[in-house]
Amino acid sequence: MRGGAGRAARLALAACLLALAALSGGCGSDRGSPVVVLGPWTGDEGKAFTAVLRELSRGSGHTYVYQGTRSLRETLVAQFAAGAPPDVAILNSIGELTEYAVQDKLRPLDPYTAERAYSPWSPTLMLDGRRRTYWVPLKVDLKSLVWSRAGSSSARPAWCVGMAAQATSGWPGTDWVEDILLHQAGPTTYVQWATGQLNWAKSAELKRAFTTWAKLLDARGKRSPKAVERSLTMSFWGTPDPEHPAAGPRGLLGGSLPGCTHEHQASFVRYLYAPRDDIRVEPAARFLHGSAAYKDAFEVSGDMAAVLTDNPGAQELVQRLTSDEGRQKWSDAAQDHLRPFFPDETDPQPDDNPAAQEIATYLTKEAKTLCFDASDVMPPVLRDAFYRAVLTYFRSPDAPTLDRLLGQLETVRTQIAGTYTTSAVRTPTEICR
Amino acid sequence: MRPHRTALRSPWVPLRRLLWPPAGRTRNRTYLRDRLIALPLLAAVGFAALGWAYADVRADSAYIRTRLAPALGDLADAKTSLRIAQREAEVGLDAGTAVELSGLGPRYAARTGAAAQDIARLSRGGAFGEAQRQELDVISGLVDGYEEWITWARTNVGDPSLRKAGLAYAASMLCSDASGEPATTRTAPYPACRPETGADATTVVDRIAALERDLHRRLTDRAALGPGVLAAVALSAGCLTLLAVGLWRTFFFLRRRMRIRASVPLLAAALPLLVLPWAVADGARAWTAQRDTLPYADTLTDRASPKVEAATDADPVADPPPAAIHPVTAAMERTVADGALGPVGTVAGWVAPAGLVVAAVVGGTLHAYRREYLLVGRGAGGGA
Repeated sequence: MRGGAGRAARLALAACLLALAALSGGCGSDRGSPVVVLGPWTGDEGKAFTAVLRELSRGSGHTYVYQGTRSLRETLVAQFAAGAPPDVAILNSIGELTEYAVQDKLRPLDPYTAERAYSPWSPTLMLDGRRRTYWVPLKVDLKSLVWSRAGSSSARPAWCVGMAAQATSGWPGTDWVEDILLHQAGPTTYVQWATGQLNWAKSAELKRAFTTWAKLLDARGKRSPKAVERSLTMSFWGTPDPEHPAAGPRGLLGGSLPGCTHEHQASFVRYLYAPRDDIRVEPAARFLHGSAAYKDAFEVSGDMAAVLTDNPGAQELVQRLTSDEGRQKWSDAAQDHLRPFFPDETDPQPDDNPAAQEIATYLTKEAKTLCFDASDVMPPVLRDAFYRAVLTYFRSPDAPTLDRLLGQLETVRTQIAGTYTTSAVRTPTEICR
Repeated sequence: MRPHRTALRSPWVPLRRLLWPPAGRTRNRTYLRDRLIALPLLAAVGFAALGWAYADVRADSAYIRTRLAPALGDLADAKTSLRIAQREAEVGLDAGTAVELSGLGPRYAARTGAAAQDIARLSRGGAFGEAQRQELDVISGLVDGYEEWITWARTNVGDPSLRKAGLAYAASMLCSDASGEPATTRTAPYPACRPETGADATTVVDRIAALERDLHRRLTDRAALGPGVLAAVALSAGCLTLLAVGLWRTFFFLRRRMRIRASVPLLAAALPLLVLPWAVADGARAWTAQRDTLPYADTLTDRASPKVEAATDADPVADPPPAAIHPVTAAMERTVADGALGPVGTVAGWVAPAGLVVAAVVGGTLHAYRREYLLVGRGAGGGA
C-alpha cells in the first residue's frame, strides 16, 4: 500500500508539473531574429521577392520582414528620424545611397558580398581615403528600349506616355531626356551632367535633348491639351481593362492609351507585355536622333541592396541574395514573366520569350556602353526637381518654359554642389562602363 | 482477466485516495500523510491555474484599453483625416489662383497634421510589432509624398493640367481607386477610397485598412477565451473544489480523530478561497466587457467617415454622431475600464503567490500534526 501511495504521489506531482509547465506557456520557441527589409517592389514583384525571402529564410536562423513602397525616400527619411531604419534597404538611386553613405548611415558590405559590386551599378565611392562598397545590385533593368505593337510603322511612331508614378511621378519623362542626351552627346557629357559637373542652364546638349524629346512627341502633329493631360495623369503601368478591372493594369500599349503605337520604357515593362506575342522590343537608339557612334549605348537601372544596421543577419541576407544560389532561387521562385535580370553574364536571365532573350543579350553581351540612369545618380533633391521640371516641360514644351526650368534646375544644382566636397569624400563618377 | 483489470486500475486507486480519501477506514497517519501531499498540491495548482487565467483576462482588458482601442481610433482618424484633407485640397485648388493668397485653408493643415500625429502615436504606442511598425513608416513616407504633390499642385494652380496632375499623383498615393475627378464635380463629396487587399494594397488607405484588419483580428482573439484560459479555469475549478472539500473533511478528521476542535492555521489557509468567487466574477465581467468592445471596433473600421468627422468639426458643441471617432474610441476604452469589479482586479497578480502561501501553511500545519501524532503514538507504544 505504501508503494501505491508513493507512485500516486509521483503521478500527481508529475501531473501538476505538466500543468504548471502548460500554464507558463511551455518552452519558448525561437523563430530566429527578424531582419527588416525595405524595398521598391509592390504588387506581383513584391510577391515574388517575398517568396524568395521565404525560401532564403529556411535554415538561416532569421525571419525576413519585407515592406515594399514607391515612396522609399520619404519612408527612409522618416525611419532615420525615428532612429529605426530597416536592416536592409533596396534603393534604385546611387545619389540617395551616396548621401546615406556620406552621412554614415550605411555599413560597408563584407568582402565576399563586395565582389558582387558590378559596374556601373556600384561605382567607386571613396570615404576617408578608402574605397568602400556600400551597395550591390540585386536585380537590374535595361533602359534605352522602345516597345511597340507588332505591325506598326517605326517611321512615324505615335508615342504612348504615362507620367504618373505616385511619389516618383515624372521619371518616365526624365528617362526620355537622359536617353536622348546619352545618344546625342555621348557618355562623357552624360557622366558630367549626371554627376553635377555640367551647367544645366548653359548646356546646349541638354537643351537639345529636351527639344528633341518635344519634337519626337509632336512628330505626328501637336498634341492636344486633353492628350497631354491624359498622359500626365496616366500611370506608366496603364489602366486595367474596364471589362476586367480586377486583372490589373494592361500597359500603355495594351489599350490604356488608344491610338499610340510605341512606348519608351525599361525592360521591367515586360511584366505586362511578356504574355503577349504582339509586342516587340528594340533599342531606343533608332528613334532618338542620336549619333551613330553611340548607337550601342544603353542606360541601365538597378535595385541595390545596402545594409543600414549592425544586425549580422542583414549582411548575411545581402550575401545570400547576391550569391549564385540566391539568384537561381529568385529566378526559380518568380513566375516566368516576373523573372528578374541580373547584372552578370553568368547569372540566370529570363528567357521565357524572344524579347527577354534579346534584352538579356544587350545587357550582358552586345551593349558597348552601359550608363547608370542619370537621374538616379543625382542627389535626391536635384532628382526630384528634375522630375517636376520634366512634368512642367511635358505640359508646356516651349523655349521660354525650358529656359526657366533649366535655370531653376541649375540653381538647385549649385545649391547642393559642394555638399560632399570635403577631401575625405569622393562621390561616384564611374557611372558608365 | 481479473488480475489484469486490477493491474490497470492500480495507479488510479491511490490517486483517488489522495484526492478523495475514504472516510472512516484509513489509519490516522496514512490519512495525514495523504492530506499532506494532496492539499498543498491542489492549492498550488488550483491557485496558479486560476491566477494565470485571471491575469490573462485582466491583461487582455488592459491591452484592449491601452493599446488596441487607441490604435483603432488613431488609424480611423488618420484615414478619415487624409480623405478630408484631399477634399479640402481639391476644393481649394479648384477655386484657382485665389489659393495663392489664401492657402489651402486651416482644415487641410489641421487634418494632414492630425494624420501625421496619429501615425507617430501609432508608431510609439506599442500596439504593433516590427512588421507593422515598418508599415507605419511606409505610410508616414507616403503621407509626406502626398503633401509634396499637393504643394506642387498648389504651386501650379494657374495651370489646370498641372494642377490636376498634382492632385492625381497625391490622390494615387492616398487611394487605389483615385479617379482624379475633383471634388467639385464628383457626386460624392469625399474620395471613396475602397481599400485594395493583397499585393495591390500599396496606398495609404490600403495599408491603414490592412493594419485595421490586423488589429480587429487581434481584438477578436483577445476578447475570446482561448483554449489555454478555458483549460486553466477547468483545472483550477477541479483543484480548488477538491481543495475546499479536502480542507472541510480534514477539519472533521482532526476534530473526530485528534480532538482538535478548530485548526486555526488551516482555517486561515482556507480564507483566500473566499476571495476567489470575487476574482471569478471580476474575470467574467472583464471578459464580457471585452466582447462588448467589438461593435465599437466595427464602427471605427467600417462606419467612421469624413462626412461624420466634418460634421463634428463644424459643430463641436453638438452631441457627436454615433460614428464619430473620438467618442467611439473613448466609449470603447470606457467599456473595458467599466468591466472591472472595483479594485478586485488588483489581486490578479497575487492569486498564484497566495496559492503557494496556502500550500505552505496547509503543508506545514499537517506536517506538524502528523509529527506530533507520531511522537505521541510512539510514546504510547503504538499508533492507531
